[in-house]
Amino acid sequence: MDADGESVCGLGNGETADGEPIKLGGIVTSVPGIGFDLITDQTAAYFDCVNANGGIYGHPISYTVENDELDPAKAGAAAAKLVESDGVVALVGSTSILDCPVNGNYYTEQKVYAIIAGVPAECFGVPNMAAVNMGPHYSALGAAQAVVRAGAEGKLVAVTGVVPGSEYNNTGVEALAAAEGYEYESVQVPLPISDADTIILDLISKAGEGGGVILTFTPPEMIKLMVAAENQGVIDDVIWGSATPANDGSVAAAVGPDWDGKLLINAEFEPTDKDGPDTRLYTSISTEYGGGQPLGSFGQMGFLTGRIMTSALLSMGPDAEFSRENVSAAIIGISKFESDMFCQPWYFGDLPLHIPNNWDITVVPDSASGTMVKSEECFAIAALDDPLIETRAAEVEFGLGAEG
Amino acid sequence: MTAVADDPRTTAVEQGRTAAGSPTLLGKRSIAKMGVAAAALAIGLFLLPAITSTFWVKNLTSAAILAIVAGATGMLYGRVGLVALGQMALYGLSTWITLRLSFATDLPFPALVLIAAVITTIFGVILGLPALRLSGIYLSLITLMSAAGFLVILSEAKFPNGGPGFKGLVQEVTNRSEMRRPDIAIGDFAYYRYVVIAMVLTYLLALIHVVGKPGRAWASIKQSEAAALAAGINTTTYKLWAWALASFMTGIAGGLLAGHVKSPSVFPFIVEQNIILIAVVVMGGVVSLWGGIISGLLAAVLPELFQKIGVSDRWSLILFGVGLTVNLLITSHQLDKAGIRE
Amino acid sequence: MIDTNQLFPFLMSGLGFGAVYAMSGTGLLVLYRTTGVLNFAFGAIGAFGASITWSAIENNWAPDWVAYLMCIAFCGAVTLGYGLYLAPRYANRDDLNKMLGTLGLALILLGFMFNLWKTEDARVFRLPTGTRRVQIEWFCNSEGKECVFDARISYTQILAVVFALVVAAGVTVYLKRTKMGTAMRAIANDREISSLLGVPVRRIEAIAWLGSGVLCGIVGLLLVDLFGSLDVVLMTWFVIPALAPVLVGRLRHLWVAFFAAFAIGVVEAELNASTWAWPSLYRKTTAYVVAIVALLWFARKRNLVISGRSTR
Repeated sequence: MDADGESVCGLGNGETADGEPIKLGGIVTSVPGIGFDLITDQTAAYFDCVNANGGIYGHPISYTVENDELDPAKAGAAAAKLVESDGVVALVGSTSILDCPVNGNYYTEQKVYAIIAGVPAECFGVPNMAAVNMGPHYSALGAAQAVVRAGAEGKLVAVTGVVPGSEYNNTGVEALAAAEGYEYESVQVPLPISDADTIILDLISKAGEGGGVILTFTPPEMIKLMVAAENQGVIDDVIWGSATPANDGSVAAAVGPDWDGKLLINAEFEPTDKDGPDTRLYTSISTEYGGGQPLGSFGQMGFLTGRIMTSALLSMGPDAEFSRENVSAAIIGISKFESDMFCQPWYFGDLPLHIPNNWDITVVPDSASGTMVKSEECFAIAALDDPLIETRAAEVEFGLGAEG
Repeated sequence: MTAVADDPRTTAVEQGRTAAGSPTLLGKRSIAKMGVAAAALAIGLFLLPAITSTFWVKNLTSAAILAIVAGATGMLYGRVGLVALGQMALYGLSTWITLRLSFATDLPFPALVLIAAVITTIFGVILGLPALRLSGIYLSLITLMSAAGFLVILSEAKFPNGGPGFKGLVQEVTNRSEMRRPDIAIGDFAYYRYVVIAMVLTYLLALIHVVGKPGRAWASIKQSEAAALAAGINTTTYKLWAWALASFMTGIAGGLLAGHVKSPSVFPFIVEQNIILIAVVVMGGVVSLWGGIISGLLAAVLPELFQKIGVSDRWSLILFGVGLTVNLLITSHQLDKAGIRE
Repeated sequence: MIDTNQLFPFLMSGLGFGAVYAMSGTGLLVLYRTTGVLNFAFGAIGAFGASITWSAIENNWAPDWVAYLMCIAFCGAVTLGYGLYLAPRYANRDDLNKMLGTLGLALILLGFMFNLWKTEDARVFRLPTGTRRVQIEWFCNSEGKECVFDARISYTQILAVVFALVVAAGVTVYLKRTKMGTAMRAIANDREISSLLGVPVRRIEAIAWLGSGVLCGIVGLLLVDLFGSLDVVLMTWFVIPALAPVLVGRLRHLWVAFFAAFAIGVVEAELNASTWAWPSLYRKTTAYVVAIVALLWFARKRNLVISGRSTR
């Protein structure tokens, strides 16, 4: 931060960094229908801004992103390329359906640390990876909490698409249903969705009048379902919740006014119109370096991974040797990273597993502005499973981050 | 079926022998050819890994595995005249079986792959037995429809990750197991050599068939099924034989893929991949088994090369489409010039 | 076992997809009978055309109705272009090679779509008929709350069904009553003899290509509305299930294919009404299972299918 309390990229001195580069890498899944490259693009945009502002004490960051294209063979080859051929010192911004399950053990063996946006369960159960987001499991759980508070009755139905590891997306809702005395049903639909009308009618009938339906889909699939619910006129039949990916400008813009205030989306981060230094910096980087990408949770994840990594590198001091070992130590050392986007400070720490972002904000679609607007302030994700219970205990015990 | 080659009536078979080119192991230049093959093998096994990184070795492993599938598909196309558009489904089936067996048993890796390949062959034959009564466009369509249907089931079933039950799925991260590799090929470089040797062995198996009696029967079936029937060739048996062999080869490839990627996803087996496979098989060439290797390299390595030189790998899809079209046009042109009507 | 409340709404939704299967089937079948080409690029061309429409609407290049026409014009032009310039080069090949040629075109178009548009992102446009809906409430009880038949359908669904009927009927009349139609049927029977007898083979084939292309553009637009978004991969390979009814009609019987198309669409949707998990989980296999069963059924009579061309 500069003297006025404004957030800046890196050193914020406006000088182009031209020293020996520090190599970082990331792996992204980007195929038609599932595109996480909004995240890595934003991480890259942040590093561009850092490099134009003095870099890491003169060292520019060289950031390489590999696309696994949902092919495990490619995911494995991409990790080998980044870690062995390119010799990256750490991984940052990775958002992939396959990276954690395919390469998790490999990263542990190679002692590479990663600050990522996690999708499958494997991203939230290892010592050397921590995500800025909470992943679909806790995100859907948070949305279900909002649905319960909004007065859902009788039954909760959790819905997601059939992709590797997708059971994980629904089990958080299952735990909440058990704890709160709801009936529960899990539905997995084949992707890509081609018959959204029948899926929606089926969900309504399963949930029953006044029940809760919690959706976990990427924006393109989400839009199909929301449009179908609009067509069938069933938006008011149940209470709808959604995991984070739906917090996207494209979703708000594509659906009609019938949805206003009716879809409780777990946003994980403060809305992008919030007046805070990091949010202002994110907005300006997005226009200046990110080619004017739509603002949303995905962009925030990319921004935050880049920003946290930069702060870890800067914490090493101007004379440090930016080796993999030293950078890993600096990453482990992140203990209280504050940002106006997070409900609570973020941390890495020497822990067996990481779920540092476990607080939630609810947003809803607003057709007048074509964006998502906040409807609930920060609340804690219910600690219903061992990993989150352990995480909350560790947060208190180690004095890391915030007390949950 | 009596000995085909010794039968004086088998003119169609004799024609077939010439049509298929001189059998590789028996021809005059066989020693030179074997020399080339041995040199290529030596380069593939030792030189390539020595001069490249883990990244390329992993991609070459993918290429070698795909080369087996492409070799099988090319053999059906080039030798027997059958265009199978569902080979990727058998490939995925075998990967699934290998993973399931690996978690359920303590069998050594080669046994896993062989059992999976045999089961895959049985499935292939069960489908092939009625389907092979169809030919031409109908056979292609039934294989494509089967692959599309199978994909729906595979997406639902998902690949096992060490859990209980028939599907072998577990949700907790901590309880998951990984597919094992053979003890002698734990590392990526060692596994690459293992796969290349397996590829060579399956190719040799195919070669023995191609230069032997079945190969001559296939060649005559390819030229004219009616003539082959008239010449006393049991076309059903020989077509099924080719079909079973291709299923077996594809099954081997599926097993090797399970060891290669350890936790597979459905994506490599989607319907589109069948189309890409047939495109690269046609581009690689279907007459020689070398074509299979070229096909494998095209499908697995070319997109990475594109990325390396800063071109989006999505151009490879366009290239495959253009390659398929150009190859078909060239062969059409040659057929026209030769005055052959199909 | 079956959720009876859902049977009727699912029937309505199934009819919409059945109509699209029927329209695609008509386009594929007539083209195959006239030219011997089973056009696997049908879906890819439609998806490309719809992508152009999306760009035109998104960037305000033209009024919406012009954007829709752009899709139909593009699909007609590409299909006709392929028919005039590339298809004749395969004239001496069997049907299998002709089909492989169209697979090449499908891959090329798909590759260009991936390069030209950000296909990972959600892309949506709505037809004017997609946002207007009718509520059907038939045989309701006295309070008007519980109805035997209760569903909401969009005008796109109605349009699709009506249009499929009009197209199939129109094609039948055209083939039976007009000179061109008779010529088309002659070509379907024997291309060479027709040509010797003075039938303008090239011109007739061109009409078939153009007609099939226009249909493909209309199907592309309707699919965007029925799917709820513009999903190019889904649309490109939509051609595979759409072939199922054509195969039931043995690649020649238009009305058999037409009714099979509706049957497949309806069964696929109704399987969702089952309270058992597996019928709804595997409902997407309907078209493939039907196609496989149909092909195997025809394979009983071996002589029919010993060569691809002889069944036409």
